Amino acid sequence: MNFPFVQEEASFSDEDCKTENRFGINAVRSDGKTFLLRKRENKNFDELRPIGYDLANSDLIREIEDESLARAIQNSEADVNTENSAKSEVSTTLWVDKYRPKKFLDLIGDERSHRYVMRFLRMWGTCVFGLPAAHPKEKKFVRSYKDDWPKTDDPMARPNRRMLLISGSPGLGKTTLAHVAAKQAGYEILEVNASDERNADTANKTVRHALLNNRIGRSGKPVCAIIDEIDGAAESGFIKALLDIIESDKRASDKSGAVGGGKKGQKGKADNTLLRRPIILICNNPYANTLKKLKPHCEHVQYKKTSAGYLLKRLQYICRQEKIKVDVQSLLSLIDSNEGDIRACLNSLQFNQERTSSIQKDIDTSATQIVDALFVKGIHNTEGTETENQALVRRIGACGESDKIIGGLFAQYPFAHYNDDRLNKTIQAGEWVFFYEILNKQIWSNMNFDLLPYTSHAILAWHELFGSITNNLRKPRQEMMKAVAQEKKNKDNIHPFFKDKANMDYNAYQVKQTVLSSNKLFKGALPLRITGLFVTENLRIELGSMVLSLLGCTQPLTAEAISRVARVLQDLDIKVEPYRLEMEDLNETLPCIAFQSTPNIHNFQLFQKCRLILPNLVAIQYQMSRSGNVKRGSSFNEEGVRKSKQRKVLHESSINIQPRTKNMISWIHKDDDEGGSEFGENAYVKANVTDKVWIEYHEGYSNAVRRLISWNQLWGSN
Amino acid sequence: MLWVDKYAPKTLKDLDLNDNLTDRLKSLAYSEDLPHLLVYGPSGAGKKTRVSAVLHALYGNSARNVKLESRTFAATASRKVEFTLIVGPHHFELTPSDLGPNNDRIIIQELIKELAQSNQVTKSAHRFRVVVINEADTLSRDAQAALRRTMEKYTTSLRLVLVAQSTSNIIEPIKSRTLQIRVPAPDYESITRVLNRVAQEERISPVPLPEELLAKIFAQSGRNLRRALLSLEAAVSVLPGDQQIVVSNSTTVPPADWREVITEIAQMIIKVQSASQLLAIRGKYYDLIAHCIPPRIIIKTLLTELLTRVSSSKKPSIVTAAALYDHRIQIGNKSIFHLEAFTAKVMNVLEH
Amino acid sequence: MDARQIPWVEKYRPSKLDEVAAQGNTVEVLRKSLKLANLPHMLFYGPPGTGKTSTILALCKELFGPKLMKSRVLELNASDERGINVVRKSIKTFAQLTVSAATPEDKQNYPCPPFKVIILDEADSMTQDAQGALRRIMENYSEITRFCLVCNYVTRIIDPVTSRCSKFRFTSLDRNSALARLDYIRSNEGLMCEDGVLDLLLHAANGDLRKAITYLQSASMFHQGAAENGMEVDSTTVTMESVQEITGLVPESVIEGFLQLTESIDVDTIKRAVEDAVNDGWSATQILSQFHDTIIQNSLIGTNAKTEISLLLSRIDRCLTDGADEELTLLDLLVQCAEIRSKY
Repeated sequence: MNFPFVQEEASFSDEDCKTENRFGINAVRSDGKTFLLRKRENKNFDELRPIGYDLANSDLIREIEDESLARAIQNSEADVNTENSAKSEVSTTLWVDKYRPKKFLDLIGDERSHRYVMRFLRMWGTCVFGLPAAHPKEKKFVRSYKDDWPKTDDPMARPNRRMLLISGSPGLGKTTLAHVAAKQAGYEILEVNASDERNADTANKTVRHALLNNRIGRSGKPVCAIIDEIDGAAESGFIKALLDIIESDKRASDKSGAVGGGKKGQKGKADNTLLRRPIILICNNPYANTLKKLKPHCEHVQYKKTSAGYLLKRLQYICRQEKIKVDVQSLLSLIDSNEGDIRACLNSLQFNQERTSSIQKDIDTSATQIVDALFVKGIHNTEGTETENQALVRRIGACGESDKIIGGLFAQYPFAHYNDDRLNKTIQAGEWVFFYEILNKQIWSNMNFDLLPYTSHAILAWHELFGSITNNLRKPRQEMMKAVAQEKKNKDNIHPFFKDKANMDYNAYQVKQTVLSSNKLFKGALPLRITGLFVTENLRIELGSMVLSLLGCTQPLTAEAISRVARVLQDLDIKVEPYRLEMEDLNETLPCIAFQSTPNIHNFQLFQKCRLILPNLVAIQYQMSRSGNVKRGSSFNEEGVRKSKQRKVLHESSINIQPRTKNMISWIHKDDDEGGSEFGENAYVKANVTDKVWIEYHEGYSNAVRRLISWNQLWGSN
Repeated sequence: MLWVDKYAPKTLKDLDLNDNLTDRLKSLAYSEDLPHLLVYGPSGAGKKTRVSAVLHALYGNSARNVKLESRTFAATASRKVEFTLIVGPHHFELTPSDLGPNNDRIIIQELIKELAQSNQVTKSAHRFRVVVINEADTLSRDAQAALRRTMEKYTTSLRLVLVAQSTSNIIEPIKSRTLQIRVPAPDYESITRVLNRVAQEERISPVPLPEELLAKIFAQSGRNLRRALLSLEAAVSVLPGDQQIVVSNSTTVPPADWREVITEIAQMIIKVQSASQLLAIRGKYYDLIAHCIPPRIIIKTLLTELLTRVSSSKKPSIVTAAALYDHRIQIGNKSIFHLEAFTAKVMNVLEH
Repeated sequence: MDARQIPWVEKYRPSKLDEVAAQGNTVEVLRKSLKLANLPHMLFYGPPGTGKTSTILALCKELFGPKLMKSRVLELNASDERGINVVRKSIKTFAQLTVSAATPEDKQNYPCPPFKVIILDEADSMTQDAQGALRRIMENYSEITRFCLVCNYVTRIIDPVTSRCSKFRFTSLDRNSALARLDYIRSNEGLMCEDGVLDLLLHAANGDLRKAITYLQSASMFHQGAAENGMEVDSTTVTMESVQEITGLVPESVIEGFLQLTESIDVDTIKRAVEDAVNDGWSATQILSQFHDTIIQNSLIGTNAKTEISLLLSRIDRCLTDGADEELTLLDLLVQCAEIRSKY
């Protein structure tokens, strides 16, 4: 072995010494031993076998069955094993990691979002794996989901918006979802999170290379980029780099046209590269300023809270696995106090496991628990000589989330038992809140931390005011929930902020964010000369109100009036545009048009009070006037309409617009005999076949205001 | 075009309300030198109209060629702030309060300094450029202090026009460095005159407009001319008629949506005074707040509505309560608490 | 630069100690020190617009002459950055500098004492830390550097610093000398005024001469601009009305009207009046201070009522400072005032 290389070289020259087989080359060394020089596997994408794409895939079904079988066995085992809990070895892994879902089917929570993410990745399959494009006609998917799904008219069937944005509050499992779904779909994951340096350079080096250059990961799978915490510390350069990727992809896509976009050989200029790998962005706050520019390129999923039921099951399963005994009540309160944050639940569960019986006690410094406790008098555990009030102050101080406590108290006090004379207690509570706010201001803006202890007393005052021995622990909260449920039953009075179990404050905040963002859009869309006339604050209360009142007008309108309103909208540069609804399963001969305004004025409505009927009528007019007919109030000639080529329906109905419009109005007012049926967030109004106009009640962009709408609410007269 | 836009006077000569003021503005605009100005007056009085007319007098038609521009500033080492301003050939218009009290100082310091220091390249007859600062009374004290220095330092190349609702929140040094110009809201006769003129142009009959219609509009808009014009346009737009639009005393003036909700709240307070009613009202407050109706407007409108409905012996306490809780909303940060406390207080007064 | 662009406040700033109006005693002491060509550390305090800054600037000018002043005097005011860092760096650096030599020419005409002067205008807005840093510097370099601190409120200056300075109190100008100065400026600028205009200016400025001069200049702008362009604005005479506008003074009739309204509790009428006043653009703080004057001078209101109203006024003033709504606050003021008056 002195000069192995020389010798080997010599042996290679001898043809007899090496034989080729399908694994590689057999080489013989000088000492006579044969060894194999492995051929590098040249993987073809077509040969890669992604799993889990098709939910109907028979493999997957088998997997599901196996899974449930295995679970059943595990469960029974676990039950047996609980007895010998002492023997279980002490593990150093965090449960959060240990029980992180590994497969798509393990995921718990917002199923809809799961499917959406999967669907998104599935659409990339054509481009990445060369799978046949998913056909929208597949009946397997629940229909109502389908409308929302990413739209595509890309030759490679990639979604039109190339990136996916998952947003939601912390600890719901967004990152897990992205990872699991990507893995399941056959990708290797490239994760970039806040801990990584994120400037333009990194973005170019890692993300860009990974995505644009057909890179294959170490495991031989294509890469999917998951960019976590994008709303956080991402430098603007990073966002810019992402945008560049999208831009260059757009150019490349436009260039490559319809055919062969996916083929390797097509290398354009460096900045015209097709995006061939999916990108998933994850954030907490979708309204963050940094995301403003990215959002138009993203499909957006708002990940919702996992329901307590699912969560409970999962926690119970883990408890069985870990062989600890926790009663359902404690688990529920654990979920409660962590507000559905799975991660937090698991953490507190794990680190309390030695003292399973006392979970209740250890977490009772959480804000929710303290709020519950404050409404009750006479049952508090005191240590040593301290009084009940002292104990409470101690707990409030230990909690540290006094804002949350005040919020909780405010939300729940109307449901507590207390005696009051002419609302004096409410007034006093108001005084205390004011005191609390002044303290806070002193503390945080003047850095006067000596005052911090007094905040607990401002909170304790509520205990004096509203606490009573007749209140049970958790009673006010349950009462509140009950009231919510009651409201829900009583559908006509359903209040937007009651509909969710979470507190009203948060909902109001969510709505406000939506409104604010449409307010911004509204302002941004207005012509400069008009925004100049209004101070930001006045824009909504003056101009917004005017537009709403115009659009919400309930009296029958003449054609001239409609055209006048349309003109106002045009002045304000509010675009009312039709879009086609995909409703294949309904009668095909019906073209369906819905109208949507940009910026979305619907978001401005208070209580969804006025029904904005008018946009639909106005939109027709608006469309027509834009496409040829300019004269206000004039009747439309057929020529102009044909030019508009908008929709068949226009073509037919507008030969004489005036009677037709009237007809439509009367129809809207009369025709509610189909009442009682409920639709999803989009209510489709089915008209007489001859009318051929469809109206979509568009609820707005945010999921925060999404709710069921009954026929009566939509059209009924109050 | 929106009527508020279409019929807004464009030049100093077109200004037809408040002649006295117009004369002063003329003498300022036609003199070679324009001092720093502080234009103040209630909303809808025509402050901005006057400012743009002055700009027009200074720079001619080119003052109308404006565009939006957005700039980025480093607020702290890591955080950047984006800000949009309106840029014309010789003037700039900014609303620093868009950024909130923590960032407006940066705008004042960085942006205005930048504007002032960059020399005007084009050789024009104008020796200085004008920076219009909107909502100057909402500027934080810090920002105002920063402004004060800027005013002195760059006075050769830059003139500031501050537009504010009131001078109460403007610090003394700024007041003493500016020429204060008060723009009072037009009185009812002037508004009537303007409305009639617009009606004539828009072929609305009869002109003069019916008394009751005008009264309805005034009830909604007060002495705010902009609101009055919007109300008229909203009311007229939905009426039939092509060549001639006929209005009458019974023509409805659509009320602002938020005002309706507040009226409803007032009625609820008068009707029942109980904890459960309080809860029902809370929902409405939340809705208003969520829709960006400022709590101050809520409390003011509510007070007006309440005062028309209660006996006069109770009015003083309600007024005092309104002022008290408005003050608290201003200081505190959770307006919903104080709105509810105000409601409770009013209910308490009513029950006596 | 066009002469008109210079603020009159600068243009008519006294260039000699003798020109400083009506600060008899102080000026006397300073003149002595001028003769001795020596200065202690000094602290000037007193209400705004009484000539503090003018005095020290005039003094420096007489000490060093215009040329030498540039290298010998450092003036910092509140709008300059004056945190502890500036004290540590620029002030200290300047204090350490050796004294530049005076030219023989200057020496002939001016005393030119061998030290530098650092003027800290509006010193009461310096942070405690910065003032603390100052005290060592004052001692260490007292040989070659003198400090002059100028402030409105002497209590805001920390004791160690005040004890190192000799204090000079500036009093509000008496009406006559202020009027004389105003009239001098008026005639120098060739401005015509209606009778009583100067009085009104002084009244509006509350004894602050600087403010009064600024007001006068503003008023002249209205009228001169018009005159030069041959417009029909009545003439170059400054009218009472335009002064009223510029100073933001609320017409007495409005204030009197308010006072009358408080004679009975009629909320609706009061509300209408307040709305009108706010719509006319009057500033609430201005109304408040004028209302206060009117109440105090009114002989029909009893002392007890006055006391209570004063209390109320101060509370209302606080609300306004916190940014409470003007209309609501004024309404509250008048309604409560009416209630107080009905009690007595």
